[in-house]
This record gives sequence, structure tokens and C-alpha cells, in this order.
Amino acid sequence: MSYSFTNAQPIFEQIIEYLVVEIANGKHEKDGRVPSVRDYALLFGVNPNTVQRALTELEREGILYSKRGDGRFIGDINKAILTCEKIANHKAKIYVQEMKKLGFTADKIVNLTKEVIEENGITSK
Amino acid sequence: MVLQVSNLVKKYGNTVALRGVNLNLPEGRIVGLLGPNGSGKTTLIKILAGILTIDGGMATICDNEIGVKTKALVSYLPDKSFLCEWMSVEKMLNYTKDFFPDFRLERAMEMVKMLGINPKSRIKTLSKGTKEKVSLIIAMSRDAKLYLLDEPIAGVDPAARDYVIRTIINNYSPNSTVIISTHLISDVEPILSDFVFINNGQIVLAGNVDDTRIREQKSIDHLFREVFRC
Amino acid sequence: MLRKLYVHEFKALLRWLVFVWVGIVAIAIINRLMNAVMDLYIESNYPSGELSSFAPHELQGYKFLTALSTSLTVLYALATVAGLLITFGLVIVRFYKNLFTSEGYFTFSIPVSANQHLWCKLICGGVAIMASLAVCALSLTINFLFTDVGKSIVQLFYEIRTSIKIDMRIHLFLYAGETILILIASILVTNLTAYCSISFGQSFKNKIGGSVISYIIIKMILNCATTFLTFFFGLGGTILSFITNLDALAPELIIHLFLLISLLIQVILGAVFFLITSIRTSKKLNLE
Repeated sequence: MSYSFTNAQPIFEQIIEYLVVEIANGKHEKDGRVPSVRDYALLFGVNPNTVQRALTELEREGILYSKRGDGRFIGDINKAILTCEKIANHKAKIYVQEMKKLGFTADKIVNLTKEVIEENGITSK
Repeated sequence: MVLQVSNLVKKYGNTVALRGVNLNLPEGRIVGLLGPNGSGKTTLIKILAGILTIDGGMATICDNEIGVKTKALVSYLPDKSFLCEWMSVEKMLNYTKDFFPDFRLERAMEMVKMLGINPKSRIKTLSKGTKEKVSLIIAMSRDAKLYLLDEPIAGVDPAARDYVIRTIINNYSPNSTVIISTHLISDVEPILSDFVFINNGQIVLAGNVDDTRIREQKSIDHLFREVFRC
Repeated sequence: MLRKLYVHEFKALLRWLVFVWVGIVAIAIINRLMNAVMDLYIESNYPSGELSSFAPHELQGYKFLTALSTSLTVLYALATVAGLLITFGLVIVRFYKNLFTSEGYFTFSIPVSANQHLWCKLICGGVAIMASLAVCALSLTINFLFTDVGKSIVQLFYEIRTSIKIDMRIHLFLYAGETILILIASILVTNLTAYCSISFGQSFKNKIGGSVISYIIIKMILNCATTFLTFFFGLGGTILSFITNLDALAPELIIHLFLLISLLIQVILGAVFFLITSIRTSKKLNLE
């Protein structure tokens, strides 16, 4: 299938992450319609119930909202950005812990990070 | 409950193929029946399909004992081809429609055409892979309560496997349940909602896929390898 | 749904049966034409009918045509027998293929009971064989209609009919009916014997070999049973006729008794085979 999931984390969580990132990056406009459960299930190659669980969670957080019988729509994009930052935070923690395990000092970690940022052409904004 | 099995026993002469299987499945599930070869997967599926008889215990589908009534509710895809070689694809679809009123003929036709198969071509002229796709289309175009897919992706190339997975997802309905019997777990794991491990004719472990992944911190494929370590 | 089951069964058999029927009728027509050609040849070349007055070298054409038309007649006879055998073969192969090969996965997943499947196969198979018999009868008519042989056969029937007393005619009519019933019953029993053998054979590794062996065994058992029963009935009948006044019974009624007992035996045999096949098909199905 077009998307591969890691093993340990539940798939619905990974879907939530995927969608949150998309929304936070401005791929969807506010009040724009979001693909259906079936479309996402086909896209990711997963059980529709799993997609449903992810979308329900996003609805609960206000990032999506639904109109009866009409599908789901983009809600609070700021919430998505916040969630994205939470995820980034989490990933950063893991990254730093991994570097620490490898025996890197604080300076080494910062310099390495700067190098990688340059290599990947990420602009400072 | 779509399926209720209690204490199911099946013997082949002196060999016991199923020794007291218990299983309850509600609607809207996609269940992986996972186990090594000879564990009893195919025997269980054949019993539910009404092709083998029960030696002990009980099994009901939508509260009906296995028999003529349940055959109308069940769509069975065996691991061997069930197609009539001498018929054309079109004829085979119409043949299916004649005996299964819930068969969605136009949809099946569409799917066949989308694969680039000429409906007038005789089944014996099709390649093995194409025959398997046609068999899958027929099985999934039924509007059944219980789908029994026996090794739908074994011996099938990766692109065709994707087709099988997509077809199963596309056909999903919260009113019916799909049982997929396979030993290629990592390919089907993403679409499963529940799993059942079977070995030596008994259910070894069963549960919800997501919850188990959270609890065990590993995939079902990984868990399988642990549980069935040689 | 049952209607569709029967329609499909007939269509599947018809696919091949038409060839058999066309073949038989075609050979019959050719044979008839050949005979007509022969007659014409004889009339135009030997109008007096005295063949012995001709020298051997003058009879070349005649000998050649005779050889040809005799061969064709033999071919025709073989064709009718072959046609019937092939029909029987088609019915058996259809039974085996549709129920005990991989097609069986589909057949037994249909919401129809095993018994209904068996009745369908039995009835359609029986009708197929009777249809082939009818075609053979038709081909005979083609061959003999309006010919001398045909006319003499019709004459024979007429003479039999007029020479028999009126009240006897009813019995003859009934005898014909009973014989036809026995014919139908024995066709069905023949099919059922084969079906039963196949239902045993499917338990073995080599399904076809197992079926053949089962068929031979069943036939042997039947032969022994028939011998035993004939002895038993012969003895019993003799004893019975001493005890009762069976001899006093009119001969025409005895014939009826005979025919009806034969019919009964066929029906019982058929029922036994049907039952066995039904049990083995629903309880011990082995589709590999």
C-alpha cells in the first residue's frame, strides 16, 4: 500500500499524526471537506474502523467537525498546529535521548542538528 | 452476533482437526484467522461454509445452524479455484447471480472490466492470477453477512495482494464480518480489526488488534512469531 | 432457485448431447440415402433382379456398393450403441465434475440441500438418457419409414393387434406401460449405481480409481444378491403355488405380478443407492 506504518504504535495514532501534520501545514482550508472514512481506508490500506477511530479522536479535539450525513470538515487549524508542536516536542525528546545514549554532549548535539538542518535546506522562519 | 461457535469438534478418522473451538464474532469486523499449516484454519472455514459437517459442539451464523439457510448468508472464497473452466467470465457471473440473489452483478462486471478482462473470454484461457482475481471479485460482490476468505493472498504477487486488500476495504460494511485465514500476517494486519491465533485445532489467543498492539507494544505479526516460535 | 438448478443442469448436458444426437441422426440419414442409392442402382442395372445370370466382373459395382452400404449399416448400429454409452458417460462425468472436483466448492456453497442436488442430477441424467433413446428411435424411423422392412414391421404389429381378443388388449397395453416404467426405473438405477460408486470413490486418494473399484464391488454384490433372490423367489414361488391356488390365477395376471415385482425391486434398489449417496455426500464430503 502507499503508506507504511511502524509496528509498535497503534495505527490509528499514526493516522492522527499524519492528518494533524497535513492540516497544520496548511494542506487543508478551514471548513474544507475531508475525504471520507472509506477513502482514507483505501489510501492507507487499513481497516475503516481504524480510520473512524482516528477521525473521531480528531473531532473530539475540535480539529475536525462533522455535519450530519454530510461528512467531516476542517475545524480548528490552530489546535492542529498546537498538536503538531506537541508531537514535535515528543519526537525531539526521543531524538535527544537517543543522542545522549550515543554519548553525545550538548554542544555536539546542537552542532549536529545545525548541520542536518543545513543539509536539508530548512529555512529559518 | 454474526458468528457463534462453541466447543466445535471435527475429526478425520482418528485425527482430531478441531478440538473444542470457541469463537464469537459481532458485525463489522475484519478478523484474521492466523495459524501455521495444519492448525485447523481451513477445516474451521469449511465447516462454517457448510462443506464439512460437525462432529461435536455447535456453530451458528446469525442464529441459524449451519445449513441451507446459512449458505445464503455466507460468501466463501476457497483456496482452490471454484470457477467452471468451460464457462466464460460473463456466464460465471450470471451463474452466480442465478443462485445468490444478493450477488451485485453490475458491480462485479465493472470490477472485471476495470481489470481489463474481456467478459466473453473463457475462464480456462485466463492466467492463474487472473482467475484468482475473478474468484475474489465474485466472492466480494456478494452482499453477505459473513465472508470466509481462505488464503486469499498466498501464491499471489505483491501488486495483486494490494488489489485483494483494496477490494476487501472497498467492500467493507458495518453490517457484515470478514474472516481472512492466512499465514501472511504482515500483509493483512493493517486491515484487521481482530485476530485469532489457532494451533493444533484450538484457539490459542484472540483479541482486538489495536488494543493488543498498545498493550504488547508490538505488531500482531511479531506477536505471532513469539507465540508460535518453533 | 430449483428451476435454475435444473435449467443449468440440462444446459450443461445439452452442450455435448447435441453432438451425439446430430451424429446419430446424420449417420441414420446417410445410411438411408445409401440404401436408396443401392435400390436405384439395382433397379437401373439389374432390372430383372436376376443377379446370378451376370458374370463376376459385371457385378463389381454391385459388390462395391453392397460392401459400402453394409459397412454403413454396421456403422449406424455402432453409432446408436455408442451414442447411448456416450450419453451415460456424459451424465456420470457431469455428476463427478460438478460435485467432486473443485467446481464442487461452488456447487455445495449454493443454498440448496445435498438431496436437492442429487434429485436434480438424477432426473436430468435420466431424461438425458431417455432423450438419447428417443433420438435412436427417431433414427430408426428415418431408416425404416416407407421401406419394405418398415412396412412389414407395421404389418406385423397390425396382425398381432387384430389377432388378440379385445379384453386381452387392455393387458397388453398395461404390459407396455409397466415395461416402460421398468425401463425408466432401471435407467435411474444404473445412474444411481454409478453415483453411489463415485460417492464412495471420493474418499480415496485416487478418486476415479476408487469410484471404479467401488462400482465393481457394488455390481458384484448386486449379482450375488440377484442370484440369491432369484433362487429364493423361484423356491418361494413354487412353494406358494402349492400352498395357494396361484396356478389357478390367470396367466395374464401372473405376468402383471412379475412385472410389478421387477419394478418394485428396481425402486427399492434405487432408494437404497439414493440414500447411501445422499449420506456420503452430505456427511462425508471430501473436496480436496
